[in-house]
Amino acid sequence: MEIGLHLWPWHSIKELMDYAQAARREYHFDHIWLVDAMQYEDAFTALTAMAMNIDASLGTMVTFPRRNPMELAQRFSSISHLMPEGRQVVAGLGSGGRLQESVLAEGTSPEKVSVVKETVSFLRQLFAGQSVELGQFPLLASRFNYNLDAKARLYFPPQGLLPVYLAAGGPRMFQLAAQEADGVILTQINPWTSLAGMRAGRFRQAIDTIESTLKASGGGRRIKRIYSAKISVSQDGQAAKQWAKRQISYGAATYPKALKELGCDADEIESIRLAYVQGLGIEEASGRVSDRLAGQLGFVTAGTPEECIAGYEEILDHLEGLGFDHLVMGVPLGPNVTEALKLITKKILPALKSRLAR
Amino acid sequence: MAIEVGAQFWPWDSIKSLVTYGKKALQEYPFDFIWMCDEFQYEDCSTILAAMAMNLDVSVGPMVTFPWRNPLDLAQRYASIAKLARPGRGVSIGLGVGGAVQVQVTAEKRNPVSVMRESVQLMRGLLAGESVELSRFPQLANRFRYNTKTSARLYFPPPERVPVYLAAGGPKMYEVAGGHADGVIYSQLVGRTSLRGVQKGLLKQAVEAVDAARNRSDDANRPFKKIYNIHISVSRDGKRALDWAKRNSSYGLSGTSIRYPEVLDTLGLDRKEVGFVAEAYLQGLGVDEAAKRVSDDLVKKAGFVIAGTPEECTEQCLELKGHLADLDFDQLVIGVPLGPEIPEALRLLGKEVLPHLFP
Repeated sequence: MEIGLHLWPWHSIKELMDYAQAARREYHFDHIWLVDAMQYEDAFTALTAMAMNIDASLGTMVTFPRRNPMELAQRFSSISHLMPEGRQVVAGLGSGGRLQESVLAEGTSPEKVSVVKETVSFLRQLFAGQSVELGQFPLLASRFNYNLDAKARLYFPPQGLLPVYLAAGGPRMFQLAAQEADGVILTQINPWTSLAGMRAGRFRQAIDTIESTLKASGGGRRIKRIYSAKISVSQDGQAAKQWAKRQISYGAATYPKALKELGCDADEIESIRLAYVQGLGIEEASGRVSDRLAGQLGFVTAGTPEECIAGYEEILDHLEGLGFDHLVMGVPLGPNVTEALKLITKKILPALKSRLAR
Repeated sequence: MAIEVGAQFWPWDSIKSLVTYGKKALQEYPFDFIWMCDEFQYEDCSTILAAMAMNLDVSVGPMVTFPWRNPLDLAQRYASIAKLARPGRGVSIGLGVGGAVQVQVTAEKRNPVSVMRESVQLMRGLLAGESVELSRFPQLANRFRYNTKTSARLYFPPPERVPVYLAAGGPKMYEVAGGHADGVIYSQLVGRTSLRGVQKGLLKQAVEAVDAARNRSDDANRPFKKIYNIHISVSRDGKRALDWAKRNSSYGLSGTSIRYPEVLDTLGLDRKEVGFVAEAYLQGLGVDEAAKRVSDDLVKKAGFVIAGTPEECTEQCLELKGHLADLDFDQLVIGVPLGPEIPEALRLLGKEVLPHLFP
């Protein structure tokens, strides 16, 4: 199984570079992934810097269709031209979330599946070097003011394959990933695919949906399966658990309806959601997450290295036999990223070595 | 203070070639800035600039980007690139209304003055590290669906000031540049400030208009840069250089035809002849078709691009510099297309043209 490392632009671009370089020195991560979010460091600029300095494949995990896909295609494609031999850049795409979109208008997040579908198709056609009729993408055209009578193409298409992986968090997105994308990203910060979702059998349902859709599409189509496991680790287990609340708040605000259905406290979820909607920022939102809710959601594996190893063992049990290609050690990583990377590379990944080799 | 000299490239080449050209340009001449044109569909301008900022000892910026891209996104990009620049170097943003090449894929063909003003104000606020209320930007909020109940800020603002310069081609934009921007870019590819426009005194009028707007603004004493963007196509093969100049000439002529058709009359250019060139872009036929529609005579008569052998280019550049002499320019940008062979053009510019301009 490939192992990826996931970083969040909550750090300066130079720190992100340092973290990625240090992590690669300590462990042969196949892939470095960056979260794309508005207002923080620019993920694509950070990926550009990494492409020129780090021998690993790169990608967004994830960007979102409130950025103009014509620009996304252009940016990914240019970064691909800077990649080291044998490495690739991957467009990881999701439907967006509260954090990315706190500055964007209420009522449009997460994206409608139809918009995501157009975005995946548009990106894949441009990445394949095709000339694309903009009139075939009416939703994108309406949102981004495309000229319906014109065609678009990349005059410098990507070097090698540039796959589009879709982060999917519900039945229609599972189907869409299987139908349209080159890979599917299932993330721990989602009610279907969290540890709680795994325990409740929802994860298995997600995989069944993906497999039945692939089967229905015929032709032996295979897509890459990526699991993005979220970790917050520190020798100070309590600090790690507190730090995890940043990510948990983000997940809680993104899926309020599903979480209420799972029996989570509706008022608490709404209060977290409003922190994003009102532009109060992640600090305020994470302060609104109770320990009880954090434990109930299972969105982040948090605690001491030993606690995290146990959490990962359980996740790997659930992934067993489901054809996963890639496991991501995902954000938030820990209250002190340098310490967290050391613990992940020196303690956690070595402890999981035999499991990961299966 | 000595005038700064910039070099400008166009993303009509691969990103690796462009970084190599940037390196070569600095070997041939100590340019202070490298500027990149921003375009849809070609290599990505901000990715190229990030690569250059990391690898070259020079300041960088787009000349110009445009507000069909979301200014929230632009501020984020350039704030991050600023952190990659070498010590003593930085990033500046050149912003313009966009031109015929970008217009091909956009439904909304114009960027109204209000959009330009809001874009300058929003980016300046964000890049200064301010928390900016999005309700103050109704045009942008409408175009990019901002949440007007909230504020935006860059959590990692640039370490040094990232100024926003406005490329201005007519009276309304002179007003916005003088009133709100950190500087103004006058381009040879725009009718009023083309060589022909300069000869007719239109550049002087433009400079006076921007200065007057700045003096009327609330912040009249802010640092303010005046930049002139020469466009040049040079080669030992003068005819080839002239032919190559037709691509950019077609682009500039089309922009002037669409936005300022009356200026064509002042310059003595035939509206019909120029309109035929603009139609190529409006019909989505691309730059090659548009360039075919530009005659040798039109390139020379319009003076949107200085083209020819090094001697011919030097002569015209010296004439242009003479016109700029009393207007207190801070930076002269040696701009695209440079020439049919970029390495040759960079060598000729560095060794044969620029030494005459800046002895």
